[in-house]
Amino acid sequence: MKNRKQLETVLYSGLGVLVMLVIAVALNAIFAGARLRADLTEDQAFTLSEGTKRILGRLDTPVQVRFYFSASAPDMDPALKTYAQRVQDLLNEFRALSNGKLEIKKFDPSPDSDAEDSANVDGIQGQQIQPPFGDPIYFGLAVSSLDNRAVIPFISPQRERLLEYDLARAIAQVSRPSKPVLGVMSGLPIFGGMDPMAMMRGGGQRSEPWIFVSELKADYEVREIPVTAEKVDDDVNLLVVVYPKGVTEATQFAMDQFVLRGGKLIAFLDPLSIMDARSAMGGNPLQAAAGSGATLDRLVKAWGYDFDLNKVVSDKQFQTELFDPRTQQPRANPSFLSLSGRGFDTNDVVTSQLGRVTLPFTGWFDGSAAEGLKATTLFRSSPDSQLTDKMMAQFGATEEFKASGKEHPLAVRLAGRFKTAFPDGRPVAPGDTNAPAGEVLKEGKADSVVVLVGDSDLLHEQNFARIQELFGQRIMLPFAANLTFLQNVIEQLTGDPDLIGIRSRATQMRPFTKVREMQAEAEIRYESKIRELEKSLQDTQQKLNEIQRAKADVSQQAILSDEQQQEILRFQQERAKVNQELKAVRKQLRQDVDRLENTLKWANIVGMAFLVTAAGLVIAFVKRQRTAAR
Amino acid sequence: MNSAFANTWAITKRELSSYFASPVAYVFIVIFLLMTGFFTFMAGGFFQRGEASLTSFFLWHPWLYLFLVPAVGMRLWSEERRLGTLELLLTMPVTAAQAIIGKFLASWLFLALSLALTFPVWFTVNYLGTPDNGVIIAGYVGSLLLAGAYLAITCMTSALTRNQVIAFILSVVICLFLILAGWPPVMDFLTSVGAPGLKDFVARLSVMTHFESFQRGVLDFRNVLYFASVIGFCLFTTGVIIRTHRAG
Repeated sequence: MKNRKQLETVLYSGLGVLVMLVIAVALNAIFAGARLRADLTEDQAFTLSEGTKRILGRLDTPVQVRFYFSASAPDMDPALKTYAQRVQDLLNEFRALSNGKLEIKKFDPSPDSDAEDSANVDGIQGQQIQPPFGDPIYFGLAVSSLDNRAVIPFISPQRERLLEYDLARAIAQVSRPSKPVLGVMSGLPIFGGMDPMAMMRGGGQRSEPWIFVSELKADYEVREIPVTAEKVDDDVNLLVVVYPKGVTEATQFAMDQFVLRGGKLIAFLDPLSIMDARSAMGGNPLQAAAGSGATLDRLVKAWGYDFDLNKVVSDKQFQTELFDPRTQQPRANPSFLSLSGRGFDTNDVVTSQLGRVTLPFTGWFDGSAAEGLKATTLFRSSPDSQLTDKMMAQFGATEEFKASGKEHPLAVRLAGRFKTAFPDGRPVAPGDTNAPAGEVLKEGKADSVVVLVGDSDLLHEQNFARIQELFGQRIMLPFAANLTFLQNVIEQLTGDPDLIGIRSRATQMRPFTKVREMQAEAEIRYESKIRELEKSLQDTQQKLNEIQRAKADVSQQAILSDEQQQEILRFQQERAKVNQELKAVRKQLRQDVDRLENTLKWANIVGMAFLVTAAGLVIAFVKRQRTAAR
Repeated sequence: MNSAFANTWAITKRELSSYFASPVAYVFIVIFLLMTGFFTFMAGGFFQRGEASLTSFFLWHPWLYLFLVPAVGMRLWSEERRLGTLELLLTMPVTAAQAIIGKFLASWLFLALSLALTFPVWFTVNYLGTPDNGVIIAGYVGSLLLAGAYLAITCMTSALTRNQVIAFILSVVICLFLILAGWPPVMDFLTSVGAPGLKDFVARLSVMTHFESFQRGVLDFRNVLYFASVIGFCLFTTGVIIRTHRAG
């Protein structure tokens, strides 16, 4: 009897364990779709922003999202699968906020399935994640509404922090009624045109349009607007101004009114345009350089800034190595900037993922946003920068470089309610009796956005891409993100204004600032010493070369004089010594940092452990004392 | 209700003070600190990463806990059984549940203390740069929950046997299984066995996915639920095992 009861108890308990297990698993399964969480990240990277909620709430036509993920692929990387789950979670959240307008369809494109065909039709290609074996993995999505479609061909885990933005933008793009209209104005023949230089060279009369114009035509309706236009058409959404040389007051007024009507503007100004200087009709290059430069003086001033046409920003941190034809050597040109990293606003969607942007001879914006406007600096120089006279910069003179310690803003975005730059109304040209009628705005009817960039050469393909001719096609291979920057800005300004509000969840770089500071300090301390040594090395090398050359000249004399041989030896020794010194100084540079690292390392590993041991020993001792036989 | 808490707390205190009565506790803490320190700075490449975060610190916890937590928990019930004090414990005006939870809490608090003593590394990373402290807090929460889960498993194995070593080994094996559940070779094996549904289930069992989720800086209810389920289930099972022994 007792045995049976025992057995019963065991069984019951054993069953109980099983039941508990089932309950535990079921609980987890039930809540698998729950979105209950606390986002502790500093920039709220995993919480939906207000902008997204507004975009979704505003949808009035059905939008379909087709999500492709090869979930059943046998070699699926679990990390990718986890990320795919997060993407689906996000899509579900989007749907919940869309008032039923957003429909999500999930596909698993296994090889030769209908789902795979659908993916290919949507322009989503399978990626070979695990070459050489394994079928291609699909991980992308297509968003469509009526006739519009936006595609994210591959949802990269590296872009996780921008996932919400990418999705919201795709949805906003397809629910937009029509293609935005870009008005493009320039003082240079960016649409192609009569190129006097080409004529002189004997080539055709027309020069090619700049490539960025063709790129823009693919996504937008592009309209050419002359530099002397008196009015910007009402249906233009965004005005892109590139090097407005020859712009008149009347045109600036037209732009002013355009902005006040709520139109958006991007202006690429420039103190020194390479393209302009190039197309100068022979003549005095100095004169051409002096005459170059273009700005929208009245507008820029009214918006709170000063754009100096005579100065170019030179930067030691962002200098570019260019081939110097004079010395046949690559030489760093601090006035030709290659902006990267800290030169960008890492938080802004427009600049957060740019790798490198080249800015040949750029100006800067001095001042601060006028009342009612908020300024964001998109490009800035490092503190190791100075203002160089543009003439000096153009002819490569880089004598005295004195770091100003100031981060010069090279591109700014102004947003808010603008006020007119023409308080006296329409500028009347002398002898103009017929003033055209029309409402003149003194203040913005709506909020608007203006982006000012201090350089225009960055838009020419020679500064950001290599062009390859392949089977009659011109293939563009970018080596800098200049065009991406332009596309980002345009998209930001013509897309949904709520997209601008979506916080950029850029992968925040959080470096060891302390270490960087120490390195910078050390470099400054040793820089002059290193330069001195390098110069002495150069001189020694030169002398050595001279002697070798002399030797070659007097080749009749097969034997070197003793003296010459001695000299050679001396210089070789000198060179070895200087090299050693250089190495020693460079090693010292790292010393401080290394010392810090080591101290911290050992303090952390052993420090606390030592304290605990000490505490333990003290406690043991105290206890021993207390319980010691009296 | 009050007496239930009071009883549980009494057990916890008793257990904790017994920990610190012997040098074992100090030795454990010292070893834990040395190892986390070593792995963070040497193997984890803390400085080489150049980024102000504690990724290289938290990275190792699932593996360090794998051995250290069973070492803490293995004596919880095995010792009582070996010494024969189990029956004594259960005859006191304390229910089995209170005893189980009390002992578990004691060990968990002890582990929490060890974890808290790693605070110098937090100071270090804040001195060197500006890390996202919210992410770090979430990391610590995840680590604590992970330790709790391993501990609960160890409670279970420790109740199964008089022999601490067996309890230790069993616990390590089970925890290892939970770590490796999402591992590609395991997944492949399951696919070859032809059980895709089982494969999905097993993948969700993996402790790593849930732990890593905390590392992103998010306290997700689902991940907390996972760890709570593991702890709850294991403690319940511990109770069943003990009751069985008692009946026997």
